[in-house]
Amino acid sequence: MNDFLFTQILTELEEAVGRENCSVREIDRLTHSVDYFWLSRMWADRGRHMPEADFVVSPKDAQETSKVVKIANYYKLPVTTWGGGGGTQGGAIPVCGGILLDTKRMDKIYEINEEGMYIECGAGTIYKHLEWAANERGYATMHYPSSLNCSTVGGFLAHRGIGVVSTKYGKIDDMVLRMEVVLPNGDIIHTSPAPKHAAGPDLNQIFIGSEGTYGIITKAQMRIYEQPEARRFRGFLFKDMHGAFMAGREILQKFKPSVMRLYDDAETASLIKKIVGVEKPGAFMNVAYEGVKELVDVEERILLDTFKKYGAEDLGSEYGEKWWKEKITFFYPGHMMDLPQMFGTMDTIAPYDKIEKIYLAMKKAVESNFPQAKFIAHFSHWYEWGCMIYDRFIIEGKDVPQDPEEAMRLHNAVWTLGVRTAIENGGVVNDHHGVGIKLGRLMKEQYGPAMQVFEGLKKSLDPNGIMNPFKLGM
Amino acid sequence: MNMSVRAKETIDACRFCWMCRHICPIGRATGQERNTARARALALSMVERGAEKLNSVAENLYECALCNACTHDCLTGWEPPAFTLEARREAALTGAMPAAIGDLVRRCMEWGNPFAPALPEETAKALREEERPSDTLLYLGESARYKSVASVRQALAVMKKSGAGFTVLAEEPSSGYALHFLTGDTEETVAQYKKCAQVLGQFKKIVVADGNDLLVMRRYYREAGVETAAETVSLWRFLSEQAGGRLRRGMQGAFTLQESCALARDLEEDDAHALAAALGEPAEMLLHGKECVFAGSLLMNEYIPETMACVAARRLEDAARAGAERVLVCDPSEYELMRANNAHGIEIVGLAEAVLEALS
Ligand SMILES: Cc1cc2nc3c(=O)[nH]c(=O)nc-3n(C[C@H](O)[C@H](O)[C@H](O)COP(=O)(O)OP(=O)(O)OC[C@H]3O[C@@H](n4cnc5c(N)ncnc54)[C@H](O)[C@@H]3O)c2cc1C
Ligand code: SF4
Ligand code: SF4
Repeated sequence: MNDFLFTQILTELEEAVGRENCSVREIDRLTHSVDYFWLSRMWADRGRHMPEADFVVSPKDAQETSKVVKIANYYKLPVTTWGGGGGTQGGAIPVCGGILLDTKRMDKIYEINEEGMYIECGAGTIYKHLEWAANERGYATMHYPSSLNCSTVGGFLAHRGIGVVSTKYGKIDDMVLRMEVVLPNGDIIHTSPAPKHAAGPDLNQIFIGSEGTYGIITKAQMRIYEQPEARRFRGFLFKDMHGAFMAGREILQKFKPSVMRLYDDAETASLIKKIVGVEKPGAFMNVAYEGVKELVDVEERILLDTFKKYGAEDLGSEYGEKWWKEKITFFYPGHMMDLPQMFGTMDTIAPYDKIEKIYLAMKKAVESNFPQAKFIAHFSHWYEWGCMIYDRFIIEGKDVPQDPEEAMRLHNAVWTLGVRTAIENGGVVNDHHGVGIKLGRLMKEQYGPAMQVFEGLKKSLDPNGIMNPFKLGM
Repeated sequence: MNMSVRAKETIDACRFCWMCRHICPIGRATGQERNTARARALALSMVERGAEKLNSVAENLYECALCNACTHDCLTGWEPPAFTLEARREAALTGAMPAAIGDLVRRCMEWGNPFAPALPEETAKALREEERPSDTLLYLGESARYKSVASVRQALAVMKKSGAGFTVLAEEPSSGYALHFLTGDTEETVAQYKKCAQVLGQFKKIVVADGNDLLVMRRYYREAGVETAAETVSLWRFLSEQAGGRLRRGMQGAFTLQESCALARDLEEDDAHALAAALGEPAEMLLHGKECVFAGSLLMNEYIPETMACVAARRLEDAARAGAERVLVCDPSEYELMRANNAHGIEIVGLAEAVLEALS
């Protein structure tokens, strides 16, 4: 772009959001070019610049966001929305340059509605700050992902995120009542006043998971919950995974634990041993149940009786409590995988009749085609009908090419094979990290002709294709 | 870059870590991605790899308040302010310092403080009146002396009413706080430490009114091998010891305390809290004690006043949510900035002033 046009657009954006909230400085462009995606980190680690936006803007609300989007539409500039940059799929990286729209100034707590049990907030609110606002009134958000500290309300909605107590309280898409969204043409819309209705398809669910490709979420009403009277933990060791799946499935027919995490033998012997201290071989399962104390007493009895039938060794409450205390420690440097290692989480989800088969097929495919890769998994977020696999591959630094292009080749090959195997065996491209640029190529393989529904929406809402190009396979 | 091994390791640990963004008072107030430990570390890691020039990312180094909230929150024990300070030192030594910071450094060298060539008349007069022989020195610090006449007045009055014998210095040497903040431990900073330590050494006890000065005297003097024979004590500990038993417990209305991060977090001293609790029943803000939140710096206000206004206003929002009608403030910087950015109609009171009122 020539200097003249560049400056012209800059002044228009400055007028829209205020000069101090519009930047072309290198520090802002650089820090918005690397998110939590392994490839972006590797690229920077090798001293290479990731694609940077030309302009970084921070609107304070929907009105300012609308002005930015209108300018972008006129000049046909890409707009990439950035919340916390904590996404793992490269969704927030401005791969085509243009405008990077950071939502974090939209962090106002508009209302804490104790009668309706929700908080209305700006979509750029860091979820931990929402939790603090709930805690100050004696409530909780019950959305506890490991990125609670760093990711935004809008980011979780745009990615269909999930937290550790989801089995009882649900995914982010179960926790939102209403949203305000700025469409690609600058119109500001609101979804229906209540999430459950028979007034046509659910507008919320069209924008949830759309990763900034259909519009920008600017405000949301998020549910809050009473703090549980009791929260108890119990650790179990299963001899084999099959018994553990069956036990978990049976429990879900009876009641909903808050936490339910089953670690395969490899993850039990590595991460769980290191952080929680379980030394014995087998598959560790951590269960938490919570709520009104009398109900928790009953749930505990049902849990112990059910798991006993499947031969689970009861490890008591100590490991579970330690796990709860350490649940985010796993993600700090020194505890978490980090460069020079190559790693990735290929989370997928399926009904109980397929989940074990998918796990075994993915493990076999990755380990036999990439003998340098280790494959570990845990199963969290259980439903009455199935559960999700949080499976990871890890390649030690010595086996990761130093050359960034070669490293990208290896990375993408492992991912393609792993996710394709999941799809072929009845799984979904992703469970809760989203698609981004990382998995866009596999969306058509997943959906086939159904993809035209997404594409049709995209074409009519965003005819100039400015919103987050090359993400979500669109 | 010429940095310690520890600083380089920290940069590499923090550059891709998102875990402490929620706690950063600057990030929270500005909503800017660059105001995170990871953003600064990423930029410096790119400089280290030759992919970026220090001067093109240097401005961002000075947006960090060095409040150590991230350090306190980090479960692996990394300390981003340490690499930030080393990078500021590197910027000072290699000419990569932004012009506004360069001006402040020059002022520190020429005037002995970053604010003004001479004291405000009212402060100068008050100090002259209180200069007398004593082995106890009330060390006010440059933020109060040059920028907060009210803090000076309150500290002097409460010391007098406590019955303690003390003196002040009309010509008080800089503790080195500002130069350390702007340039890390350069030769010039250490020279200021030494000069100050020498003057302090003439007294038996130094009562330090500003937590930031006490932190420098206790921590950074020791790290630079500078010693002073005098005993240093915070104003709040001194008042607790001197007059804690004589305080009337009658503070009306809901109030909360804005602690000094340097005292409450870095030096782990909770005397201010004990004093406030002796005055009445403080309504705690969610983040207090070791988690207390930085609410502004008069030094940073010299070059990023809009940011400081947001930071102070944000902290007042926390106080309002805690239901406070009044905030008792420890450090002179926070006292002035909270007063200047008070949209909630909350009464801002110096802790010294509150103790003064309650002293019988
Ligand atoms: C340490 C760590 C642990 C994690 N653990 C979990 C976990 O337990 N559970 C989980 O679900 N995820 C987890 N993640 C992934 C990440 O937190 C989620 O993907 C989260 O949803 C990203 O939110 P963000 O605000 O950081 O979004 P970003 O990374 O900034 O953006 C993600 C995507 O959403 C889009 N987007 C962001 N805001 C908006 C908006 N307001 N409107 C429209 N589109 C928008 C972006 O364009 C991008 O496509 C983890 C990440 C980290 C760093
Ligand atoms: S200080 Fe700790 S939590 Fe913060 S970025 Fe560095 S490693 Fe992460
Ligand atoms: S020291 Fe304070 S201001 Fe600086 S990055 Fe850490 S939390 Fe933010």
